[in-house]
Amino acid sequence: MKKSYDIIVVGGGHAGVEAALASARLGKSTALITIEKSAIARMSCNPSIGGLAKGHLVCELDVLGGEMGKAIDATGIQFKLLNRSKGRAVWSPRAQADKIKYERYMQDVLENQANLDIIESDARALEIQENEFRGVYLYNNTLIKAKACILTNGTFLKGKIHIGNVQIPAGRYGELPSIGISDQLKELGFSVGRLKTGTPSRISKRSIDFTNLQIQEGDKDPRAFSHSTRNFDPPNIPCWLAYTCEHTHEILRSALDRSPLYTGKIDGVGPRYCPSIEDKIVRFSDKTQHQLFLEPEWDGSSQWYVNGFSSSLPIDIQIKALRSVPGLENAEFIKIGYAIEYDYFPSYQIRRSLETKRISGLYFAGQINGTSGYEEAATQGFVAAVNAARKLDGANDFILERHEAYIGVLIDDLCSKETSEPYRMFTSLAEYRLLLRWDNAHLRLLDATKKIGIQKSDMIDLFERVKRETYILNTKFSKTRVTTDNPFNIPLGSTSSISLLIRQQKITENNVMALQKHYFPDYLLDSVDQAYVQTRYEGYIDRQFKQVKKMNQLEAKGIPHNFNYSKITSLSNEGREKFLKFKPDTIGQASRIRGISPADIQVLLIFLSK
Amino acid sequence: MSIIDHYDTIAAISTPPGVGGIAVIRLSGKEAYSIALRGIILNRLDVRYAHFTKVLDAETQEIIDDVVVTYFKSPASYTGDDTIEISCHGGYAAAPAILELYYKLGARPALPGEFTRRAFMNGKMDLIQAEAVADLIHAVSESGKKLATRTLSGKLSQKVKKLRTELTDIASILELELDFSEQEITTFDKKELLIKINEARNNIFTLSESYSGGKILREGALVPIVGRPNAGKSSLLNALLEEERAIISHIPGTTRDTIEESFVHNGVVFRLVDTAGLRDTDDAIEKIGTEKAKQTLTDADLVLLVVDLENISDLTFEKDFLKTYSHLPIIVVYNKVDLFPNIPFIDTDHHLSVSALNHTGLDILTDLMVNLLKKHYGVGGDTIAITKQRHKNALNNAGNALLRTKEALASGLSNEFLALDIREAISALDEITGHTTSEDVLNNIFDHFCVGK
Ligand SMILES: Cc1cc2nc3c(=O)[nH]c(=O)nc-3n(C[C@H](O)[C@H](O)[C@H](O)COP(=O)(O)OP(=O)(O)OC[C@H]3O[C@@H](n4cnc5c(N)ncnc54)[C@H](O)[C@@H]3O)c2cc1C
Ligand SMILES: Nc1nc2c(ncn2[C@@H]2O[C@H](COP(=O)(O)OP(=O)(O)OP(=O)(O)O)[C@@H](O)[C@H]2O)c(=O)[nH]1
Ligand SMILES: [Mg+2]
Repeated sequence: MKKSYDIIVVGGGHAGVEAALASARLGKSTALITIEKSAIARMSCNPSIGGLAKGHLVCELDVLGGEMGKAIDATGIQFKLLNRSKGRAVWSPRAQADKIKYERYMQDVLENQANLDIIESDARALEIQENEFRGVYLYNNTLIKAKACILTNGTFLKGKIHIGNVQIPAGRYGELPSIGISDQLKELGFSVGRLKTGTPSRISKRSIDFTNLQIQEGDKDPRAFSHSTRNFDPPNIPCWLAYTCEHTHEILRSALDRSPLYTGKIDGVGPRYCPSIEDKIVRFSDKTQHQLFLEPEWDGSSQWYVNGFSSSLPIDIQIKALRSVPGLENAEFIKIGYAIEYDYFPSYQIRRSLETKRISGLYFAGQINGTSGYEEAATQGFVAAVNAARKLDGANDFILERHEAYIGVLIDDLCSKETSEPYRMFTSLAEYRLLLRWDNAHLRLLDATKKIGIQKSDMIDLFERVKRETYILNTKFSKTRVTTDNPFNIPLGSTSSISLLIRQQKITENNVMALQKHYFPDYLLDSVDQAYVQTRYEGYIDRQFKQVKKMNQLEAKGIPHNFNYSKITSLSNEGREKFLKFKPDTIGQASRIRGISPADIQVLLIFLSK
Repeated sequence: MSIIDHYDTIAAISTPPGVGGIAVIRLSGKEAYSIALRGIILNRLDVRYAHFTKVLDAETQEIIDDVVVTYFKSPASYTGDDTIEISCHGGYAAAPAILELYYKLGARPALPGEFTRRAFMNGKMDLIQAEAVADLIHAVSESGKKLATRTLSGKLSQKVKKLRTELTDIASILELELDFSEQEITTFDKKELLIKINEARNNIFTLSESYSGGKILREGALVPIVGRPNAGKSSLLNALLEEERAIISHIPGTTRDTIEESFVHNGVVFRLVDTAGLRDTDDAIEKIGTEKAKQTLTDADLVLLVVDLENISDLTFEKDFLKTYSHLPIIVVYNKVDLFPNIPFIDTDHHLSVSALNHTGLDILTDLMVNLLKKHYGVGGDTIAITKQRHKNALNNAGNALLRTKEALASGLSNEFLALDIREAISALDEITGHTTSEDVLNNIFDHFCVGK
């Protein structure tokens, strides 16, 4: 351990891991300070990575040079491409993880990373002078100096677990909370809020009666998250489906007066997309059953995760209620479900670089910004580190736009929307959704990836090849004629171009492999596939590009950080207030703030052009 | 929020509506020149030169008006962008028709103060002027807001909100299947979805069609008074205005030119037009008058057909007239009832006896006029009508977006494609209400569907 580093990352969760790796890989001497080394990269909640929109985030991170995709490819135990019956843009990969292997994989990668020291300690306070970050104090008051710091404390800041009426200070079950940092920042003028989330019980496998449960398997043709994954042949371990019944709901209902949610003990706001089971039966009282997914936490695991049964009710009720579920009559409990409340910093306080507006050199990433989810955290950690490193090098900010990546949507949303509940990614949040496919992340992010400079050169070469080939194939498709005796066995009256047949949906998704094999054997399957999608949805894709172009005129109009909104009397009161709060970087961003009227934008434009 | 595009071509009438002999329509923006050419019969315009030409609706091959067009090339124009000024005939008909044509051809309605704002952006004004403009925009938008809350108050705003809710519901159904497909969710079949889309589209269409009614609210109802010579048309005009406006005489063919005067009843503005008596004639001047009378009828919203009770033995003229103009609401006014104290007073749906001389039956007549307008155009009283071209455009855009949604649905495209068009429809409605939020769909999903693990 040295006395001074370029960059310090506080917290070894999913944000911290990516931040530490990115920083070290960019050649910055980096320290990762985390409370418990063996808990690095731990999945606090469900044992899975990816899913709708989240899978997109992982793929984007992989292209840019992050680690999450590789880690899950190496340690996943079931892979599934979701939404396959829908259009390409909303397909999304998801994997069940082997939690233990995943942590170990990440810990190994960190151990072997040059420029990176892992310090097992609790960061208690920050050294800040003249609104500039200078260093971090460990629990024993040792000062470690650095030029920049990325805080990724997750759910640990003044974390408090609730089980019934019992409250335990903790950052996660069995782990100590982080006390000190959030109070210090509050004193420095940061606004601090309180959020809540929850997790279900873990039960033992042998206590589950599988006979009447529905099996849920992964895809037979699993798809990897990472472009660098070769010879992908992961296990396919099933999950199981169970259902609650009326009796379960009666038990839960009878104990609502002992729920911290309804007795007012919990102040934090929880996510509506991740409700506790008691919340579900209260809000949707007419539903007679709710789905529960039983998921193994690792390969050969005896510990199973009951997805859908998150709860903060007292232990006796959780046990009684879960045992009323058919198949779980004899459930043995390894860990009980709980809710956790924690401090976070409402995200209008950061810029799109993830640097705080208040303290130069201080960055926030992950749950601390009010988001939730491993993938949301990981991508932020990466972006924060890239920006911290660039700042030390005197380079400009690394910012992804909304039309370039879900990462761009995520961070822009953080900087222009008020979050009252934990924020997670949904495909419907991306207005240019048709452009942001999971499978074209390497094409849309090629330039960004090169700009960052972490990705390996063989990967860059591959991405460039796909981009080049796709471009060429787009013209070849319209010039190449398909004859009546074709490899697709499509009945044709006369010869026709490939592009026409794709548009007429005569050549479909299922023919892409044959298309490559018979017509373009020298091209990568990926390239043929990309060109296929571009041809198939050409009209819609063009429309979205037009929308982007229109919006870009506003995105391109920057607003100086020190712009004086107070002196513009012709703004509406609400407009001025919001502008002062969010300090948007561009007119585009300004226009997305809730409550801003078109007149406010016009007035702003007038004053900016002077 | 719906984003104003600050770079596309805008159009507006830059003289007050309905006033003066000439109206000026201004087009400004990068494509103003090419868009302008699409609507006139010239294929080029010289800079700063007044061109006499015609505005032609290429689709219907209909000549809208004779106009003078001047091209001000960037940067030497009021706004600094390419600007076209089209001077056309004043009054109520030509200018709005030309404007509507240009909206079809690619321009969009200008926002309050937008020409001036552009002028400033292009460096045509100094800061002091600019601040004045900013205040103006603020003021206009404030008074616009007040106006909007007035015109949008109550029924219309509720109506638009209801339409928006219908669309948000559709969007929620679509997004639910995309963002929560891993979970046990209610799915909707195509048919149900189609029914919902059709319903929403019909409702939007109905509201958009109420514009013609809205136009009457805005500009007044054009009501020609026609009939055979000497029927008492001019007398009726004077009686309704309670003023000796038109010359009256017992000589048939007294009125030669049309006379227009407004009066208000029950909040509706009537633009009464006294016309020359209709008959075949060799008198050249009278002929012109007759032609003018016929011209007025093409734009009429309601017609008063005056019949002289002294001349009812032969009603061939009246019968023919009713046949020719059967698409218009017509009130047959039997005049000079004072001369026939013994025949029963006529007061049925579209028939009424009056005396222009001593004002009998006029109150009934004006009430009947209001009622008929209401019935035909949904004007006045409590029917909902839109009164702004901008609103109509927005509704039409929403309707078109829904049409595309239907097409996408029919061609078997997945939800995310349908959602794209539904979103466009929603933001089109947002332009009317100034509603500004994008998270509604997710909120709606969380409120109505049990999702989340
Ligand atoms: C009970 C529970 C339930 C959850 N349920 C869900 C869910 O259902 N769905 C979902 O998407 N997400 C859920 N999450 C959230 C998910 O775990 C987080 O979003 C994600 O892990 C955030 O990553 P992070 O890197 O920001 O923080 P974390 O993964 O929480 O990591 C924080 C790390 O920082 C370290 N640390 C904290 N403070 C200090 C300090 N002062 N000094 C040194 N080290 C410190 C901690 O030891 C830890 O390693 C849940 C979390 C919890 C705890
Ligand atoms: N007794 C009686 N005479 C009327 C009445 N209305 C109009 N007259 C007379 O009818 C004659 C014609 O009236 P105008 O109002 O000039 O008729 P007009 O339809 O405008 O005639 P032209 O302009 O010539 O087509 C005049 O002598 C009026 O005084 C009425 O209600 N009762
Ligand atoms: Mg007359």
